[in-house]
Amino acid sequence: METGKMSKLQLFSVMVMFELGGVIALGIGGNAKQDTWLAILLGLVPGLCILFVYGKLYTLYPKDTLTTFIPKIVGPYLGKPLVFIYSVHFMYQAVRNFRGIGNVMSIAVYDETPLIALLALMGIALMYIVYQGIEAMSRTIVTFLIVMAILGVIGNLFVVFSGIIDVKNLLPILENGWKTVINTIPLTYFLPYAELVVVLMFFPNVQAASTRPVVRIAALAAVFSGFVLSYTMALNTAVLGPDLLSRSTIPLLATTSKINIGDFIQKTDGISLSTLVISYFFKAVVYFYAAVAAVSDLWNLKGIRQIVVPIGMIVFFSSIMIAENAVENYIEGYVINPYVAFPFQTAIPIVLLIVAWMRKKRAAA
Amino acid sequence: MDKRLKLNIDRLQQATGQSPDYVIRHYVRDKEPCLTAAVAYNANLSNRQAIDDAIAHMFDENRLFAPEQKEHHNRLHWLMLQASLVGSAAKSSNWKAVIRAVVSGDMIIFLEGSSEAIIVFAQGMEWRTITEPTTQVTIRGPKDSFTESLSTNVSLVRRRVKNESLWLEMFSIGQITETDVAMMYVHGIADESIVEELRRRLHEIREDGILESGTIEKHLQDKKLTPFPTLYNTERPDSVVGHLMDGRIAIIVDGTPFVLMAPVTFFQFFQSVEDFYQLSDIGVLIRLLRYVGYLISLLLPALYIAAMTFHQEMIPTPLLISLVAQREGVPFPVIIEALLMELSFELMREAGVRMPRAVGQAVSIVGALILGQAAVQAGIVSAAMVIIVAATGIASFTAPAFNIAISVRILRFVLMILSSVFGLFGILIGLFILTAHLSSLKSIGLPYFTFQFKRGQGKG
Amino acid sequence: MRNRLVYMLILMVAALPMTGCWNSREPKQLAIVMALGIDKAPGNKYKVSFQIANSGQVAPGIVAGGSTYGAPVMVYSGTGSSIYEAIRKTSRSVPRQLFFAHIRLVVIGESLAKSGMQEIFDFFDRSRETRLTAMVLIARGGDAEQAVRTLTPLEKLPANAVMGKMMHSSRLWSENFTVYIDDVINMMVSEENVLLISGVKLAGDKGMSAKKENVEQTNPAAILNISGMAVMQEGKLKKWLDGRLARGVIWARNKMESSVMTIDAMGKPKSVSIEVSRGKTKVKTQFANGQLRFHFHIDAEGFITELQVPFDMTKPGGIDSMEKEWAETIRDEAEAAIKQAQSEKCDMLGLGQMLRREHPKQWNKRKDDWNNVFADSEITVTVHTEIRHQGLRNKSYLSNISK
Repeated sequence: METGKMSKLQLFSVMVMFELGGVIALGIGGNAKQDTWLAILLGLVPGLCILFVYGKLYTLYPKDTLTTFIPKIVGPYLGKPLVFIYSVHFMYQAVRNFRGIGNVMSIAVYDETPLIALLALMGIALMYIVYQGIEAMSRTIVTFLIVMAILGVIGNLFVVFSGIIDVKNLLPILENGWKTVINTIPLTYFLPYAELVVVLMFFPNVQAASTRPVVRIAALAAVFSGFVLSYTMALNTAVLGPDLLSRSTIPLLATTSKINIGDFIQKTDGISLSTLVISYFFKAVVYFYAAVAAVSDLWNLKGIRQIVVPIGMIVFFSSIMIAENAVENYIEGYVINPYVAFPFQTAIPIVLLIVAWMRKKRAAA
Repeated sequence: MDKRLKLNIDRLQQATGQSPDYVIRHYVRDKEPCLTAAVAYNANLSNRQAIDDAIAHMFDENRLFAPEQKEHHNRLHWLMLQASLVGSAAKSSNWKAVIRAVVSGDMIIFLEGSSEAIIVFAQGMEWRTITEPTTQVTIRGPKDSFTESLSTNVSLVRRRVKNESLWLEMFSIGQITETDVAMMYVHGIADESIVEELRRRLHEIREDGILESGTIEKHLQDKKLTPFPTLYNTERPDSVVGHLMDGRIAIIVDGTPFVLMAPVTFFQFFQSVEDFYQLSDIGVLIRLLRYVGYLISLLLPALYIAAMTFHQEMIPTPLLISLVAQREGVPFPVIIEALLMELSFELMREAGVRMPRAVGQAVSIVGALILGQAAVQAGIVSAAMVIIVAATGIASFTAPAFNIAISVRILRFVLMILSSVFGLFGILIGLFILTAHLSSLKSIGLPYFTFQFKRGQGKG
Repeated sequence: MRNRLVYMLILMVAALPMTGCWNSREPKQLAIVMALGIDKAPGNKYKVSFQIANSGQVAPGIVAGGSTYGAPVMVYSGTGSSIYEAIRKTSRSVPRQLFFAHIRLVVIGESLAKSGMQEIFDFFDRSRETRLTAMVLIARGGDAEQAVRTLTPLEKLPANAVMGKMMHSSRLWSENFTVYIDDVINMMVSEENVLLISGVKLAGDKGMSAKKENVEQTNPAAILNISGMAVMQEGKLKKWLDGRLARGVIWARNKMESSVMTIDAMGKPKSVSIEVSRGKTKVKTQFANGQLRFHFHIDAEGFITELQVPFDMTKPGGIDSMEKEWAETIRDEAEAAIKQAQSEKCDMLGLGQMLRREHPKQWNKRKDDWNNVFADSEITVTVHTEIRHQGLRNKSYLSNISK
């Protein structure tokens, strides 16, 4: 298990960055048309519930990561395979996200560059960052979250000053009724809230007096990112209109492409592209770290340095093989993935919690 | 050490290779053979006045034959007491200590029949007077800077901190040079564990010679390959004192005016003492300006290359048309042009440092204006490139500490290459790796890339 | 040994990116396309014309010995069954790679507009290079290619010139409003599927338009003018709106920015000029016995800029009567436009969208037959005007001329 320490601010930043990763630019829940922002906000409800489950698990085992307390709860024979499956799950998610960035970059800017080259470059950065350990990783994420915040403020100012916001595009609210919104909620719940199962991998590394502040910060981070996402989607809807929004692969990019102030400040794609790359990349970093930490626990290694490179290689090569084209990655990553991830994010943690509770009761009796 | 005077003297002369600047004066009284003594000192290192004073006091006829002293034992001690009236004196039977004393400029007194020698402090070399600092110049603030003498430097610090908790530890580092190194800190403010760590590292240095604090810096750094400095250095006493009060530890090396400070954070290098002397609001803004300057000097060429070769859509249309027009006759691709210009700027910078002052002005005019102008008009480079390089250069001087600018110079080229292959994405990935690297650096065990700094418990 | 293996592996992966820079484009290799013209070509194809900036001519300042001859823009054209095909085919004649990121203007030939142009915008929508902020115009009475070939005085880049004309016209004369590509797409996707695109007309000696001499005299032989608005239903050009009718539509669609209106006073027609400084239109929807009713309310503010009669405004009620007269004029314009729209069964006023936003259920009921429903609905207009001031003089000097 990693012995590095994270401060509470770093935990907050890591979680927010993870939550915003990719989604802030790519949008989610597009089938709710102009009510997407509402669906995202409502997704917070089940999101906070599952976060409560995670929090409880953490409180019961404050010194353990997910992969170290699983064997404690269900015993070594069931536990080890479960940990193995979880590490595969994390690796899979890392690969999905990793490939996702590659695809998006390819579409948006680098259409003639072979995907391998982009992925190779990113792979090196990925491995280096996680190799430095959780402290360096969190500090890096804090820095870039600040950068993203600045970019966000500037971008928002530009959008406002371009006069391209048309609030009427958000009307009529709930035109298609509550049903569509409710149906989209599972989607907005999975991505991004339920993905927070990874935080169980580094809760124990946080420096805190007790477990309560940690869980509180986690909840705060989830709510905060939920609001940011919802706001961003609302902004996108207002600027683009529901039709264009649902047809765009990268709504944030479409929004910033309309920025035009005094005919001089135009084409500020750099802002949204940087936001996209930064957030998406660090999401992959977090998943990668979780995978590496999980494998390190699986084989009872000290620290993670030894296996960073091997797993990095696995991730790199898998990301090349995992999908033939961008559409396939999109479907598998966004449409099918929620169902695949469901057991890991929701079902198993709940079961674990129940079992842990029962054990505690039995021990107390 | 031997009792016989002649043997000791011979040994001394042999060890020093009979260098003529080691003077040996004999004192003989025929009637009393046991009073034979010899004085040894280095004429170039010692203070003649002090030596003469000491000799006068010690070998004063009246005192020497006063009834109070009769035997050898007493006599040596007596001599020492006399000497200590004039300067600090000690006895030693350790040959190594005796040699070291002579070599440092102290005076040795051998007495026939005594296995101990007296060491009298008599150092008095020529040092540079206290002048203005050449680096880290400020508009407002004290204008004295450290010199090469350890004692002068320590005095410059002590006179500003009139507090008994300002502790000093001396080390002698360097197999051959045996350079004096002093470590100063305020007990109670500085963290004990860091002091201990520094002490340990200083003890472990195995070098032939220590000529500058930079050599020590290399040993004191955490073992990690990085272009970033993890120890701060300064010529200014007020800067050192300011840091001491923050809980940092100063390391003063004899022979150089540059004093090391540890531990230090990355953001320390952007602070100038002047920030504290001028109005605080302006200080904050100016510090912000320095950060921006640093970023510009790091990223500007790379961004220019990325924008020109990959992301032409990001440049406003009239600007783009103008830039394309400028490049019409230029034979090189953007990246080659950029590298060329950056390299020539680096060359000019290196040349400028070593140029004699008289020629400096003319050459800078030639280099900057005429070369740049001529190159543009000949169509070898585009005007925009010259502007970019110049702006980068100027921006890199905004950091108050010189060693942080050095780090930028290397990184800038790396980022340029990355951006020429991958554009903005490459720059971003480069920045990710750079930030991760910075985040993993430690200065004497404390995190480097952070705003906070750990203090010791309690105030001194 | 293991360390070295790992090292090598990493180096191999690291070497991959270094094998070349694929997307990099030297700026010299670019042909910056400023304007695009799309025409109909025989055989169900498109003829696309590109206006490319000749940077050596256009840029000010030090030009490092480059091409200093030629006109500020060059126009190339090519044909193909799709826009992108035409573009790539033109690579046979253009010495550089066409670069669309700075495109400012898209002109569509009238013949193409008449035969239907719904499909051509997907290229702009989808490509990562093009901008959604390019302006769209229809070449009236001619080919887009000719419009794109015209050189303009005052502005070196004709695309900028035309854009400037469009923007200033919509701002100062308000008989047109600017339409960008994403507006076009939004209009097509919206409920009414009615497009309103301004037209650009080449007036004068058409043969001279592409020659440099055209701009080397004080009075250019051929000049591009913004002319009218095209109304297109389902992507096909149906009619052109000019003058008062066009302005009426502007009023109805709440796109009035500033204009000059002349009203009658003291028996002399069109003797007082009022500059419109603000115009705001609100629409209310109502239902009465299943009958749809729309009510337009226009708020206008302005000030008097020119008096051709000795009208005395210092007299009480003077301004009021002028305001009333002005309101009448505005209402006439608006009503004329509305009537025109209704008689054509063409909802060019954006009422379908409005209905959908405010009363989605009612819209759902009527959306399939919207054009007829629109034509049958009752529409009323009320206008409220305020004349804020009359410039630096109160009475005209005409009042003091002794007859």
